[in-house]
Amino acid sequence: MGASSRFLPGRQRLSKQARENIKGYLFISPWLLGFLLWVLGPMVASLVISFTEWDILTPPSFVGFENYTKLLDPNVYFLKALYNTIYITAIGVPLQVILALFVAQFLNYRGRGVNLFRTIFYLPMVTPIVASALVWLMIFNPEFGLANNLLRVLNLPEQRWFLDPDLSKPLIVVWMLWHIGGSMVIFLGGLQSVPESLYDAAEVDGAGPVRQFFSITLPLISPVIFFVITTSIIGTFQVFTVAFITTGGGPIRSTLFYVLYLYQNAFEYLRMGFGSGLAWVLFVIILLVTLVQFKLADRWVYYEVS
Amino acid sequence: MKGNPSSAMTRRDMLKLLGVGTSAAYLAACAPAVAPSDAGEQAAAADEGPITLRFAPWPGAPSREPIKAVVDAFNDSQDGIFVKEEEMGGEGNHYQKLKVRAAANELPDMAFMQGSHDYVSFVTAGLLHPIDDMIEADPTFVRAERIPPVAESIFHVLGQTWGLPNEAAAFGMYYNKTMFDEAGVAYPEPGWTWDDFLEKAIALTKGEGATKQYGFIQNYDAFRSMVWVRTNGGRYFDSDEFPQTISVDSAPVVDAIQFLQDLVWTHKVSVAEGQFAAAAGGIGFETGRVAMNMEGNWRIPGWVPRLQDLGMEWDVAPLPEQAAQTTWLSVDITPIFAITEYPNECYEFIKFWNKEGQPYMLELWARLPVIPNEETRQLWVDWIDAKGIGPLAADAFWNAWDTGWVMPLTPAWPEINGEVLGPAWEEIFQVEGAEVARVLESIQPRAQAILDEKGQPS
Repeated sequence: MGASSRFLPGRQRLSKQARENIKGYLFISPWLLGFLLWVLGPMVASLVISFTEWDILTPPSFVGFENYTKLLDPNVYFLKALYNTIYITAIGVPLQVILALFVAQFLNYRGRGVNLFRTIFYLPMVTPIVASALVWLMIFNPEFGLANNLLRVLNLPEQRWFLDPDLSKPLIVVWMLWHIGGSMVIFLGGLQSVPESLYDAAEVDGAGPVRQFFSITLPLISPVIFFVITTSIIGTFQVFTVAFITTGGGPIRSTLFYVLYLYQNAFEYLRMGFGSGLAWVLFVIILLVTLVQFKLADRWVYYEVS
Repeated sequence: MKGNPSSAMTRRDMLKLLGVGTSAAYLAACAPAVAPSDAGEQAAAADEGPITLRFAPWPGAPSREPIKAVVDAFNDSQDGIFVKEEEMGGEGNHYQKLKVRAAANELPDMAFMQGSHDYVSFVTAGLLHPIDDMIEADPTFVRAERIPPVAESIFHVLGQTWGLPNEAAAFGMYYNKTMFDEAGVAYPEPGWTWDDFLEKAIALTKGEGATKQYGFIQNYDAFRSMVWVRTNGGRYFDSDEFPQTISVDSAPVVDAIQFLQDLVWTHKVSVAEGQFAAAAGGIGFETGRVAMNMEGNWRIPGWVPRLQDLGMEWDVAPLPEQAAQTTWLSVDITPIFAITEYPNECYEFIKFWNKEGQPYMLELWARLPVIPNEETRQLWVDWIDAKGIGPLAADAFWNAWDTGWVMPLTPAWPEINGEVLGPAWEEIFQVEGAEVARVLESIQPRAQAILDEKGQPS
């Protein structure tokens, strides 16, 4: 091969570095083209569409910033959807992180059955969301669901669960807690990277398990916690499937989350311009929240190399 | 690498090839698919054999067999046209998929549609091909026969005809005879009233908690509530074609919705169907926990074997009367898309479905024959008898041709229903103590505003 490639035309014009760069670009070209065609292209298109009124069937008409200014119209449920989304993010994400860390800590040992427990906690993550949402519906069915059967046995008042506007959002939060497996595995990885010698030294100095957790474990896995919080917030801001399956946004818009509202506008009512506007506002919100997180991270995230 | 150095592929060549191949694959993926209905290809096809018509059937398992049977029968009936079904997959979003295909200029020649708001949005967008010229040129066509007068408003829109009926259905009151017998309650009879209905529902409700037996069930949404509103002499909309006014706060509407709400919260003889299983409508009646269920004749194929297995005796009565005895009549359509190169051939297919296809729709899908006359009525009655249902069921559905009403056509309905009526109905039926009149009054302006904005042909 070397003998043949030596005589290829143009070889002398490219440095070794340039050739390596080209190879690199070629290797990433499937992803790069995919990004350009399926991510960046649609993003730019949606930005343009957000300044139009377009129902797919008829040509779009330019409306300037109308799709953005009408977000605060009382007949538009942007604020309601945003509130619902912030609600489950503000309550669900901290609970998710704390519970996942607790479970990871609990399962961070080497002994019999640990793999079984880790699998059990991770199992909801490999269950299709639609299936687990339907199971959730059945459990909380007011007539024959497990939850009300339990309340009946305990002589406690039955609940209407997903049909009750006051309970529907908390139930979605609880459903989220059922899906801590992903975060748990990341935390497990973080916990296992903490050097044992630090705990040994702390123990010699008289630090108990609680002190060790707060003084050694938490600081050393703070980058992992930061990662989990950041990705969880981004994910929760985009929650869709569980509400789409269980409640459709009801009752009385109590589970009308942002992306569900976006979907309804874009694909049910064919308000493509408004739906695109909503998507860009969500993008900016998530971007700002993430930037704030990165700014605050300087104060509490500890990077060993820094 | 071994072999002749001058012909061997270098690593660089390989990388180039990969790059070009990847780019080509992406470009190919981005390029619009070549539609068989493209003029050139279809012209070539016409030279080579039968003309192929692309047809998007209604999605979902229950409709596959009957629609396929109609298509197969049509294809067997002649040599010049071949209808090819293009299933779009999935149970839902039929119209969204068609609209996306319209935006991509990828529509088939025809598609099954419900005779309602979704179909009319294709009319107003100019995507459909009227069939008036073909009807005029067809000496065998008798309009009053092919399009029953009660359904004329569905098919004749904006002064043109957009298709022919392909199937029909109506609501009736399914009732569990076994439960009636056990409670010593007389079966419903034609002419029964809302008071009779309520009395029976109360008498048939017993028990508490997980084993409670309910007198009645239905899905309490704005659409099904419309049946009770019409029975009460009211209407949401002022006309059947592009209505200008919606009146959800009018007295007959409020009274009808109040009647339904009382069933749930005051008399406690009913629950929102979602309370049994949001994902499975009608499960209450099927599982023997509900005595009466307002449902359509489309339930019959599934329920006959299932209820037989349970040993349940049942029948279907006409809906109870108030100001009127009426029910919703659903009549569906297979419109022809304007992009088709072969409107006349499409017309042949929809005309076949309208008449010769009806036995398949009845046998395999329990649909009412869409050309109502003595002969087709007898077919329907015999079919119901053969299923062992009776004696009221046959007339309960069939009489919809005389007493039924069809859904008003307004492209604003999805938005009015989804954004305004849906949440209001949830409040009324899922929150105890919600005041019907107040809720309906509060949503009226918004509903009217959407109708003004989206409800008129552009």
